[in-house]
Amino acid sequence: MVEKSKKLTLEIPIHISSYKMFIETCCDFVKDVDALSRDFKRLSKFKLVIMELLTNAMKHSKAISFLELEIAESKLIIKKIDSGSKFYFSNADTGLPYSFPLTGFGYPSQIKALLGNNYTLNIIVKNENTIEFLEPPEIDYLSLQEIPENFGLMVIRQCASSFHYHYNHPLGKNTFEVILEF
Amino acid sequence: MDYQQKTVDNVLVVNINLPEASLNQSEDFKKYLYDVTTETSPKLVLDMEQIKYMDSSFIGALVVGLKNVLSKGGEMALININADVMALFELTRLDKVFKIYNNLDEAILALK
Repeated sequence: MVEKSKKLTLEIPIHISSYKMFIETCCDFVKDVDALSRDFKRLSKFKLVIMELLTNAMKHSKAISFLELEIAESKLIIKKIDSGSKFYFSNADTGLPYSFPLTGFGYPSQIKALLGNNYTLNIIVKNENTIEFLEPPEIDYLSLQEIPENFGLMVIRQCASSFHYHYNHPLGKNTFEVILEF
Repeated sequence: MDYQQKTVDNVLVVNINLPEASLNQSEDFKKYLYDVTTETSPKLVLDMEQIKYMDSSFIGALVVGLKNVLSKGGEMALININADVMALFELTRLDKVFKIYNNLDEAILALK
């Protein structure tokens, strides 16, 4: 009896002309995970996570990336790994910029990270190389001007059970890890 | 052509002929929206029926377009959004920001 592999790794080139092949390959990989493939809303969120990680790879990594999917008991682990540009953010309250490995934090610390114009997410700094993105509070935009024009990490967080960024300092590797629990 | 336009009752209707609306198209789309909304109080309907997949970059371009249209006293509506794409609008809470209709007739009636 041949056991189907529970891990899938896809190479993401620096430029992707079409997302379709990636999305279809990933959907095919999880087709036997009933809790995902038979739940339309979950499957929609899964596809959005894949798309946003691909967009993130093209927009920010500036290097070949790898998309890893692993089926575990009651959850799916999705990682985007690359050796490209490190993730960075500012403290929305102080304006101080941060890059990895982080300094000046006690662990764990929660701050509001500024990721772009009007674009913030609460994060927990777990250690000098790991942060967790927290689910944003419900927002009703009161004016057009306060609506951000970037949403990528927020969308991933909204779709996930948990969402972390980890920087492997010795190897210079970035890992975005998304977990979907069923 | 990625974008086909026609005018219905003084409303500009744009069919977005992209099966994937993502980072690859978002900058071009922003520019296109600026170019077709140069007049005062533009009225615009974007038909999204062909879009199977949309990412946050493209929805960001839609936000930029909406800001531009509203700053000129205009109106913008979206129609024929599929379920996967609608999920993205709901997650970003932009379903409360954009005027979204099921079809062109409803949108034209609302914008007339």
